[in-house]
Amino acid sequence: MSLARSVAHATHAALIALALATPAARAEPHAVGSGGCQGAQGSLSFIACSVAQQLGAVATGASVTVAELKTDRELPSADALKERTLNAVAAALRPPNADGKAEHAKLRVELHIEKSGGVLRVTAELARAVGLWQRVRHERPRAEGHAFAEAPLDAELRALIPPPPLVVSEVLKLTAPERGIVALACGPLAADGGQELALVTRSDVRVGRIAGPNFVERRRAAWSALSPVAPSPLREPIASAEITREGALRVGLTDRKDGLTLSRDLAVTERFEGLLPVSGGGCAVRTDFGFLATVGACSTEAAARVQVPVVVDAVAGSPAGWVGHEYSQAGLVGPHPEVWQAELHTGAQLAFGDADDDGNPELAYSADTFDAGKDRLTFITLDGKKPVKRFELAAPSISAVAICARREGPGMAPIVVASGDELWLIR
Amino acid sequence: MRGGAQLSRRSFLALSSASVGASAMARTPYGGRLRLTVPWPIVSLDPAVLSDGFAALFAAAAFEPLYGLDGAGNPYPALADALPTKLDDGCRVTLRPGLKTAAGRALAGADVVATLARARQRGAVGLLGEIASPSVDAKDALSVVFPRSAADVVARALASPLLALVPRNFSPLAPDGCGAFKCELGRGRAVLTRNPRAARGPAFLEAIEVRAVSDLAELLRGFETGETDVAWFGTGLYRAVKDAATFETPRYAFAVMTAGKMVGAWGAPGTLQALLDAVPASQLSHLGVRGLPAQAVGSAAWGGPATSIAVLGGAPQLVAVARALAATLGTPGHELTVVEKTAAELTDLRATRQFGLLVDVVRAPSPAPRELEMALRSAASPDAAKRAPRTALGNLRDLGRQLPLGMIGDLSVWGTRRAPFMNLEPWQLGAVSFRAPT
Repeated sequence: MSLARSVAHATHAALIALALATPAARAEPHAVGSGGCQGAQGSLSFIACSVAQQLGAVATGASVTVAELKTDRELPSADALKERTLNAVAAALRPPNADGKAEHAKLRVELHIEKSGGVLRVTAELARAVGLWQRVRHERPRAEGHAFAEAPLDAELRALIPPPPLVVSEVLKLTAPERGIVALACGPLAADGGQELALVTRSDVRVGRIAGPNFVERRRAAWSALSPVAPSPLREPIASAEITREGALRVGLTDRKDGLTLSRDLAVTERFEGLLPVSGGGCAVRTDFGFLATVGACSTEAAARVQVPVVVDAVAGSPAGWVGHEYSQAGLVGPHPEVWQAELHTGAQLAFGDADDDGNPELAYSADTFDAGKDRLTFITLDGKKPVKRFELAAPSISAVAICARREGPGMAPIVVASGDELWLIR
Repeated sequence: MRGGAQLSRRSFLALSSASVGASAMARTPYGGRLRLTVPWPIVSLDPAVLSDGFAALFAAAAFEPLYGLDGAGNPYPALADALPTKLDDGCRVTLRPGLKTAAGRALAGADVVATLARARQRGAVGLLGEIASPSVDAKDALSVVFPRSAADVVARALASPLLALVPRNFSPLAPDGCGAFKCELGRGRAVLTRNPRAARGPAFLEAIEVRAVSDLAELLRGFETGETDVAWFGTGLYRAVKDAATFETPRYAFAVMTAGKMVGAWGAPGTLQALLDAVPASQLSHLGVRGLPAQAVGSAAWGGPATSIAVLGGAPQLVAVARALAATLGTPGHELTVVEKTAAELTDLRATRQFGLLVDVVRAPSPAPRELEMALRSAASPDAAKRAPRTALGNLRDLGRQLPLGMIGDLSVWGTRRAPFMNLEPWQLGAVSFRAPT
């Protein structure tokens, strides 16, 4: 997974903060002093580059130490992580030549490293080294610079920080604010960059957070105010919802004429007539019973050119790819062969995402049953070879599933399920 | 069931490269053909007619009204863009933009005006009694204005299936609406196929094949031989059929008896109902009639002049009911004989009332008590229905004591269906689906 894509999965406080009613999250990782640093070079290099840029030229050649490593769970290679981080920052601060080294050697950069959820955060304090007389006078070193950077765990960091186990440690159940949820999204929609939930029903779009046992709504918009009715809606609606990494909400509902991009405050910023916005960008084209199994530009002209004879009635996407549910079939389609080679017996509720930030996507799906009481959530990992079942959870009448964009804490990314009249937060 | 051409998954992968994402709810499968027979002649399909058993069964599959009623009886927009907006002296109703009939005709306010005008001449005369005729809004071709009419009253009236939207120049012989199915009529048969332009969603089933029968036994025989998927009034003529499930739909019509001019005082309001309440249920229940009184009360002896009971030929259930009533009510010197008539002859008889007795069908357009009452009043006397009192009858048979019309019983579809056909019970045919056995 590229860093640019991983950013959408970077862990901040929000959704679990929602569940625990703790303060909101911080901003997006790349917004923190990224400057000209390129995410594609790797998370550690990005962090080191960001720190060096923020500290400025004055820190060039400074010695680097690690003062602290905080983690939300025990790491088997904590020392290696410290060393790699230290070396990366030291390399970024190394002068292009030896000039000025003597002067700058008096400066010291102290690193405070924190691994939280799916991100690594580094705080750097630049201080001038304390000399003998200062030590005698018990003077404390003066801070001359400060920097902060964070980045999601990439493949390099994952070698040092193993992914969390994909197990259920808690299921929080709360009454949904409205019956008939047809789509869910969970991602960084709040103004502070924290994760929020988007709930789509046939009448409303709601966004908010989970605080304790309640869904606390921040904003609601009625579909009647967002889009006209579709000339020929489906008898059973298909809906989509996606929170983009830029903090926009893209929603679609076959009851309605337009697919939409909404602002954080649910104001319409884009319309896509007859198209359904899908995760990862682009739109799918409506057909009589679902939508065509491909994604193109969100324009009528582009849609007119789409000629794919396969119809899907559910598609789950993530930066790691996508999985589609063939119309009126139990089978799946998509670029991961394990989903269509195996008999997974999926229902029509799918969610796709990398819940443990290990680079292999997870698929959550409902059961292939018409008996609401026999429905269940199944969670598998696609590793390119075969689906690996992680857990199953009985959950009656699943009408929507979402895997949150970010992990929040030591465990996997939260999974949100609309089950009957309830919202389940699984983590 | 699969729809259209299919592609292998590998080919599909080659075609698709971008990432997609969405969630969706459980899907009812599309596909399947429901075959059934009906005890009614199949000639036309008119949503505004009360006295057609075939229309009572299938009009709602091919036509949609402008509003629907929720569980609490409150109207909500269906083909209309919103609830009626109040004006200084009346209200305005606006159609959803982009509506098209199954045949592809675009619909506008003029079609609403035409729909109401023709419905007022037919079964909706009572419903529209106090609502003035609308006119197209000069500023918006999709809107119509109802003068001197309250928005709530208009919305409730327009929720009636009798006022389902039809295009201008509508012909019941070539029915064309916005319902889940489009309907093609043939001689004694109809094929309803999924309407992809359906304003409230295409049907799950691919098609419904309907055939008229002239013998009640055929309603069961076809099921037993595998020609049909629904057995009326039983599980099989000779034996129960495997892979079958019993079911019963809500009442779709009433079987009624009306009196014409030729029976004189015996046609007075309440007389027929008193006679019919005295008929033992056992005389009619085996003919599939429901809603019969548990206990017969009074004398079931016709004391009027010997006369005939007119009934629609080609409607075997209704003919059987007429014969059973003739045998039960007739007495020496007051014989009753059954005479089968064509639909056109019956239309004339209803208009002139030059008959003795008539066993007829009255559509039950919806479960709403007021609408059922208006349907019965309109069938008994269209003129009187326009001025019908605002009553709330607890028992519709009591209405027979006020009208020259007696309630025989309820007509519903009940019996056995093939198990893979799901959700047949509410008789909302667009929502019926076929789940192939695994």
